[in-house]
Amino acid sequence: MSEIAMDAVIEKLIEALEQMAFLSVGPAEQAAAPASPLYLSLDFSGPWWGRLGLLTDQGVGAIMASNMLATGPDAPEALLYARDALRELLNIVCGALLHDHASCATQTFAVGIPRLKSITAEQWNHILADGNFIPLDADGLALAIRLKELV
Amino acid sequence: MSYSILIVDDSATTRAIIKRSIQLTQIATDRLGEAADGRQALQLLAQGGFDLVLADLNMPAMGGMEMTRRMQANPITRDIPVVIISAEPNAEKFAHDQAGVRGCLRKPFTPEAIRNLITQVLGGADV
Repeated sequence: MSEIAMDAVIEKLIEALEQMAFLSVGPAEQAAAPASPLYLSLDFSGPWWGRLGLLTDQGVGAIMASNMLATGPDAPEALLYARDALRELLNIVCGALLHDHASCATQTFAVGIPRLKSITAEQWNHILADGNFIPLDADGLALAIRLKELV
Repeated sequence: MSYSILIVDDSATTRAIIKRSIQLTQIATDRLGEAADGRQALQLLAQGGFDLVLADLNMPAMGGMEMTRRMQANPITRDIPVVIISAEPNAEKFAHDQAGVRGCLRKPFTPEAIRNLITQVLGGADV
């Protein structure tokens, strides 16, 4: 697992958000708890077992969905698809990361289904403090990502 | 010529984006069907009329590979080409090994990539 550097995780997140949703992502000093905090996670197994975690705001999902579907961020479709867009983001980042780090065709990974839950600002701060998350900024909105080894 | 295409993905957002990408490319379509997993897709395909299936691999009820295997076993659906559109890390290998799969596109994708792949698979300059 140590073969996957956090720089690679961040690079894949930046690529996915720019290509999928035209959102620019940059470094942030800290990630303050947003209005509607969410925690997403996705487990994978194979040559390495791990969990990709994402802390973000429901608003990021709404902006992603609106940019992807060419609607306004307050459009019903954007709100309807916000959580689905975030799950798909995590799925894409994880897939791209493992694709690049499978050293040969026989190395196969099984990727689970992204899980998402609403959390409180307190939980956000607790997870962020304990979990080696890297804080990021997506056009003014808070994000934080972590790759954790499970075995 | 105009085509009927079935989009199979458990993400409603991705289905909407693929649909929109196809519309942006001006590929003539009679019908753009949607299914949230392989099982739903097989029910729609059994009714006939689809020229192409664009499918994800990793879906809760039935994934794209199992769906393709069942399509291959059914004379009604055997000849419908399947294109995999997936974030799955091993997507290219699965696509290469499975009969009936005619192409593979990694997520995230561009509308141009979708157009190129559909053009290549359906094989017509009039796509």
